Amino acid sequence: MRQHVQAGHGQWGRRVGSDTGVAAGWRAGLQRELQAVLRTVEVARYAVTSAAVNFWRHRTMSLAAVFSALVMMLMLNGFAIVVTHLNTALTALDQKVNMIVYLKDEVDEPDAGRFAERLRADANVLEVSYLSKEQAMSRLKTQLADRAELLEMVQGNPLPASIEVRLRDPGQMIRLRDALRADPLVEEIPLQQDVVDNLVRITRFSRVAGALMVLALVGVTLFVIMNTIRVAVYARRQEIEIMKLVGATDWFIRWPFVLEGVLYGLIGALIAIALLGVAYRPLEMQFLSLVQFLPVNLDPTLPLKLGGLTVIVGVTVGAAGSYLSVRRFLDV
Amino acid sequence: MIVLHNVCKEYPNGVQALAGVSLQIPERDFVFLVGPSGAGKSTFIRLLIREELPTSGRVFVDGQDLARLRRRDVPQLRRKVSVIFQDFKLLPQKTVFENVAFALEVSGYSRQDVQQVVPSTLELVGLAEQADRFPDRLSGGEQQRVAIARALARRPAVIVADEPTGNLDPATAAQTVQLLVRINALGTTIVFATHNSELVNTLRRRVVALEQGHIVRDQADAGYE
Repeated sequence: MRQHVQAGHGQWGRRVGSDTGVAAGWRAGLQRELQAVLRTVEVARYAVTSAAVNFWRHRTMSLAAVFSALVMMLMLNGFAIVVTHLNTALTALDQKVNMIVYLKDEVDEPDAGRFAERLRADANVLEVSYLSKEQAMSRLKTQLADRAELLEMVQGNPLPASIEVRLRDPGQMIRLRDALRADPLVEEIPLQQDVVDNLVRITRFSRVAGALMVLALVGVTLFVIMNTIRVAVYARRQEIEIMKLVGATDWFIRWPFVLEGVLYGLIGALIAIALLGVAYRPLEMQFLSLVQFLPVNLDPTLPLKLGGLTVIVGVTVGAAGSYLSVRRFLDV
Repeated sequence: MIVLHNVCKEYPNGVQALAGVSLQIPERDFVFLVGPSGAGKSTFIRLLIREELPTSGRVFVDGQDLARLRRRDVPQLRRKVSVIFQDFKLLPQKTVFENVAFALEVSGYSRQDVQQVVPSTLELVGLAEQADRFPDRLSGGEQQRVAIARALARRPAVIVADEPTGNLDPATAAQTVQLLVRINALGTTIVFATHNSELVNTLRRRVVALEQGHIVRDQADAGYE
């Protein structure tokens, strides 16, 4: 841009006072720009047509690439679905674990309410529910309704008021317990330490394992597509060599192959999405009936997200695969 | 203008293909490059389009040191210096028309220009009728002319022909040479590598003789030996 401006000034300097000269300079500049644009369009047209033509001429190879992309996309999606659902289930299970804070007898209801409010302000707290001494008693009475003789032995109301807390991340439970134990209102916070620990460990393990699986699958997908395209490129190495020898630039040669790779990835992804579109609902119903006992919140936008992810991964892996495959053949 | 200055080329396998070659080829020149097989003719050609770099010494095309040429400027050089390869290097899955058009598309010609230039070039080499054939349906001489058309279509400054008559019968070989002479008359520099003594003797042009990597003779209006 800057060079353009300077060139313009140069012309101005040489042809001071000549309006037509300036206009001609402008026109020439514009024409150059226009030609550059036209050339880009021409290269794009060439790249698209030759990608399509090559895709069709080598259709057996293309089919193989699309098929492997498809299989990988299906596996990737399958894993993604299983992992997200497992995670949802585990999160729900985690959040079922609660902590009960027993309050001292002398704490009155307004104080307890304020205390509950304070707990609610914590971002990690999902739910807080207060149970007064009287409510605790009446709950005990209903629980022991058929063994009334036990209740007769109870003098007055020995049950403490309590606050039940459920956390978003139960891993934080022990930290929170330690923080609350010092509070003057709190009598005691019993925790089933090992249950909490185990759940947290299982959740963490499943997440890490799931992420690793997905990562490994992306790697395998890239590898398979790369090799398929490498075979396709190898079949055309003569063409590439000749192109180089008659003066083609690297990108001129690369574009059609990269587009072809994108095409493999994209078609594979779209077929995978179509198949999953059919299978997703029934699978989800199956899952929901399996975990009926849990308050599962499935993300309703999950299929959309997976679709987007599949297309992005397909296109990226296809493009990257062919880019890497062609590279080796460009050294002529 | 092509200038070689004390050029040596040794391949990784130890073969010394060129040993201290210095040479100037001015614009519009017609040079026969002669010598037995293995004398270094093909290496000489590879150096001109930077398919290879010299082990020592320098190669200049239009004042540009090819060793200093950036990778992305190599295509520009290869559009300026067109090679007609000994084995033609035609694409078997493309028609005659497409083979020529392809070299133009590569150089960034617009579709309109391609539609104009290709037929007129095919006309020039006498292949207008065969435009839609595939190379394997053509005779050796016709394939040769497709290769010439491809090199010529972009109006390069230099055409380098590597044994273009090697696989042709004498009559066809003579036609090919006449074609290159005509192209030369239109202003293109021609470097013609051959060991066909008869052709060289008939034409009486500049002859550069290579032997075991050395220039043993450089003579104007000369014969083969």
